[in-house]
Amino acid sequence: MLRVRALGISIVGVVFSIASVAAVAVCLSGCRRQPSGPSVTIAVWGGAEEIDQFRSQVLTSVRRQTPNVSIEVIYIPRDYHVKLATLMAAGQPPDLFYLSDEYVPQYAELGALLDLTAWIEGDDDPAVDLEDYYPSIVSNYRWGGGLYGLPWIAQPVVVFCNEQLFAEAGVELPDREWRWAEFVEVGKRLTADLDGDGLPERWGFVINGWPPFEMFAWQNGGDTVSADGKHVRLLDPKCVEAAQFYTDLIAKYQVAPPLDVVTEQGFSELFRAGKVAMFMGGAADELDSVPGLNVSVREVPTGPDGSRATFAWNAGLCISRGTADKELAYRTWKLFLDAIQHWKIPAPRRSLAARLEIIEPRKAHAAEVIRSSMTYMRPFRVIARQRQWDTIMTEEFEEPLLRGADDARTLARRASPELQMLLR
Amino acid sequence: MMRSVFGKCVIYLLLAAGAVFFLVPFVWMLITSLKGPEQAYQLTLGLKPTELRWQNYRDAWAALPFTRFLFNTLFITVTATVGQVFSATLVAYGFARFRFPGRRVLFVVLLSTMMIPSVVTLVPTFLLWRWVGLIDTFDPLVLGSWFGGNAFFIFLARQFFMGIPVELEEAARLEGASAVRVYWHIMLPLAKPLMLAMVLIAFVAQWNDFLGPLVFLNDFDKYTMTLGLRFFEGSFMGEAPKWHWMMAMTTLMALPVLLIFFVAQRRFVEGVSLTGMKG
Amino acid sequence: MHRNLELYGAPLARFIVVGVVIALCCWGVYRLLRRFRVGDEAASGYALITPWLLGLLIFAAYPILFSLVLSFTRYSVLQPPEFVGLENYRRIFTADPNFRVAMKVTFAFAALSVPLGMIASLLTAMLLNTNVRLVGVWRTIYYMPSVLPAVSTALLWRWLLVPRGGLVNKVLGGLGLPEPGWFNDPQWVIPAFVLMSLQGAAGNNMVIFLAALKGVPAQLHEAAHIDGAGWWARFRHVTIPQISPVILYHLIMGIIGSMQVFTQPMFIRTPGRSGLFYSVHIYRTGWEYLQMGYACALAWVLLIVILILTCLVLRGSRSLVYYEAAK
Repeated sequence: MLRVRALGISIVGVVFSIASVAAVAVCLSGCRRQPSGPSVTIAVWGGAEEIDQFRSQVLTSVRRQTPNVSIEVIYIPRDYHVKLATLMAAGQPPDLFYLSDEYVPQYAELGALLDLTAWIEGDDDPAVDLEDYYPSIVSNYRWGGGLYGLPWIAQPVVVFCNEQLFAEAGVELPDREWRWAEFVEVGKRLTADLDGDGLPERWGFVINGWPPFEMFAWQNGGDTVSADGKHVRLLDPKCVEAAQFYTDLIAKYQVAPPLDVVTEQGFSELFRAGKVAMFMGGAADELDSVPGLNVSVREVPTGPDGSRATFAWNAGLCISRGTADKELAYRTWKLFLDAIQHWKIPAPRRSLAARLEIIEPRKAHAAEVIRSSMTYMRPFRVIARQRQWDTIMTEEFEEPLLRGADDARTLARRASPELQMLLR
Repeated sequence: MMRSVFGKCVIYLLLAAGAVFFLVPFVWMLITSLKGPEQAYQLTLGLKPTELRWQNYRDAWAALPFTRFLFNTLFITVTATVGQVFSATLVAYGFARFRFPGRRVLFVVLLSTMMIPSVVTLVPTFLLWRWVGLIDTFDPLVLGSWFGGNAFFIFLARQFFMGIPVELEEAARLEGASAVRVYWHIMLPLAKPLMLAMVLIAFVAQWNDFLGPLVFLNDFDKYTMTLGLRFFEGSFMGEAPKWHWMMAMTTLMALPVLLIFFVAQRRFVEGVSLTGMKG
Repeated sequence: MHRNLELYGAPLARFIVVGVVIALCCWGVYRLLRRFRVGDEAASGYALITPWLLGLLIFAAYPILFSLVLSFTRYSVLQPPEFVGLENYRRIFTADPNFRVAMKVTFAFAALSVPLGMIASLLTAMLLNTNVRLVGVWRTIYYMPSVLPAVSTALLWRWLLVPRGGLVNKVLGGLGLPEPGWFNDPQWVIPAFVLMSLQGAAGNNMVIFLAALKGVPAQLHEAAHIDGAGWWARFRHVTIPQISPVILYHLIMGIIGSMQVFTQPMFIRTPGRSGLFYSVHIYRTGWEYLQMGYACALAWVLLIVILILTCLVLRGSRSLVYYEAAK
């Protein structure tokens, strides 16, 4: 039996009551946390250094221009979209947030994003001068007639070349006119089995699903989706040809190591360790500043008939549809956009691309290549069910293709119907 | 158990084999944490770092406000563990020793609360905490584990309690002690090995928790060490991961726990002494 | 200083309040039940489990029932849910090949890893229960897997099990054994995950078994020894029955845990759908495709499956588990 009397309940009871009242008061004070005055919340992702840079370069600049506004930043390390969606579900979305382009149609369709068309039209702030932006990138932020954000980065894929390995093999660095055939040729001459055990220690190139094979499809004049976005074009001969070429780099031409080696030794790690001569990476990748390596940047090869295309990953800044003070959010959004574009390179604006060397001196040696690549860069054409598309593409097509489970045409035939269903 | 020399040899051999197996990840982490930035990018078991950069630990700690993160993590972990262990053992005592209608059903309900992946309960739980206005505080992380998070421990403690002979308790109850008294003076001391195990497990679970802090905390100042650690993974198409710093912090996070375990496990030797048991 | 008070003082005060409130509720429940002429034992029982009941009602019942309701809706998380009746369940059982695959994969994994893991834990605990020198150091080493974050162990194992040149295959090859393709071979994916899960045999599970073994009264062992029972007989007739409650615990927790395994499969790419675990499927549909209603339906199907398995085990265990104070 609970003989609380044994504990001297009267004294205890009084003490508890007082403590409870006091604590409840503190509790309530903790519960009311609305900051007074105008405030804007922004959610961003980033690594440890990027947070630091964001604080010192972007945040201070924006705060200086918005003296009476309290700006709160939510730094999200991983699982960015889980956290973002949870905040939205609870009706507490951040006012501004990063969003990578493949999520824009999904979020726009679900009504989470603010349509900025009316705001941007007639605003002659250079940060939102649509003429200055690269149209191929901005198109991914349009959906159903509205414009739901603007990109702050667009990284065209370029080729990082290990100069020393080139010199040792007696191969000249490529120029921008090289085609697939030359690319394979160069790769072969850079692949060497130094100790004669049948397995090369040095490779010309490396792939593991990156760079996306779609880039090669575009260079070949094909695409995975039709121009109107309604039909899957994976089975088109030009696309199949490109996918086959992609996997042949490992299987047939043997200029790239098998996936096992990549899993064991790392993907970009192979390049950093000096075991791979050419690496296709984003323009902003730090591969050209690896200590101990002399790296040059070159444009990606053209297709067999000389057409140029390169893939550009991009991310943008969006405003939440449910934001309370839209005018304030828009103003702050522009400030952040501009500040980030002066921090991250390459910003998808022609005026900023022209000043690449000044914004990021460490990339000055690659500025011409990057600028040139930006003129023909393309993002994926994104749909509302982009995540399902990506999963099917990876599991049913790319992975078996790279593993050598089947040839490109058979896999394309199998994957196309499922993909077509997503375009309904 | 085995007293023979042969038996002892076998035991040592098995122990050593297993130890190697379990030490591999830790050694790998340690080695990676001591590599320089050029080598750190190779996520391999390169057993020869060119230099032993102990300053990685200092650099990693300085890269983010880990001191603050440490305090936050300690606060959450200690309060959560204390609350969890006490509330779990109390409830388990109720399930183990008292007959009341609906006991079996409630026990099955207890078990079934663990059968649903947190993936789908995340949103409703978040909504719940938002309703009381406690998002972006430590409360969901601590109080959440006091209540919902400890079905696991309740189950464990109940099993333990049901294995303890009734005689001691019955003696005390015949003398008129209250249930709480019995719980405090008899059950808890008898279940010392269990308590230690539970404290340890609860501590580690909170210490390493990632999803909770990620979802419920917005303010950078309130972040925990696991969150801080994740920032070393870099970002997609952005900053490259800093494996050496990440491993340094992971090692640092593991050490206190191992220390606590090493100290605590000696108490396991005491075991259960049943002197005073009648016949 | 002010910042510290703000960060820690306020929450601490709230925690104390909550603790007090719980204690008061327990006492209140007891008094209330006694007033209704409920027997002392039953009233005490209910009073003792009140903290859990409160937790259940507030923190478990609401999210779980909410997810049940959501399973009958289409819910994209970003927009309010929309009622669609049994549509999600129909889709699970007729139109989702991934469901069947995921169930099969998860089941196969659980069927292998639960018994193997339990045996491994028990053996490890027994090994560490002996009188070897530096037992503290040994135990600490064996506890390490629990201390390391799941991410690091997943990465490590992915690297260890690389088919050509990975450490494990190098050892196997050296011993003249065949070198399986592990994560790259659809046939070997599940055994690879099971192998990885064995590392969890040490750590927490071992600690619990160790505590249980320590709880076996020495008198019983001595009595049996005096009666002439050998090691194996003592193990079978003294140790196992005495720790059977904990064995049951591990069995049930093993089932519950292995059916929901998530972190490791998320980090490791496997060919096609050979490594599609159920929790991953739920996560994908819920958080990547933003079809949370369907994900909830999937979760409830899983819950029912686990519940059935658990009830079967509980029923079967009644005759097998020895509770010292069985009432």
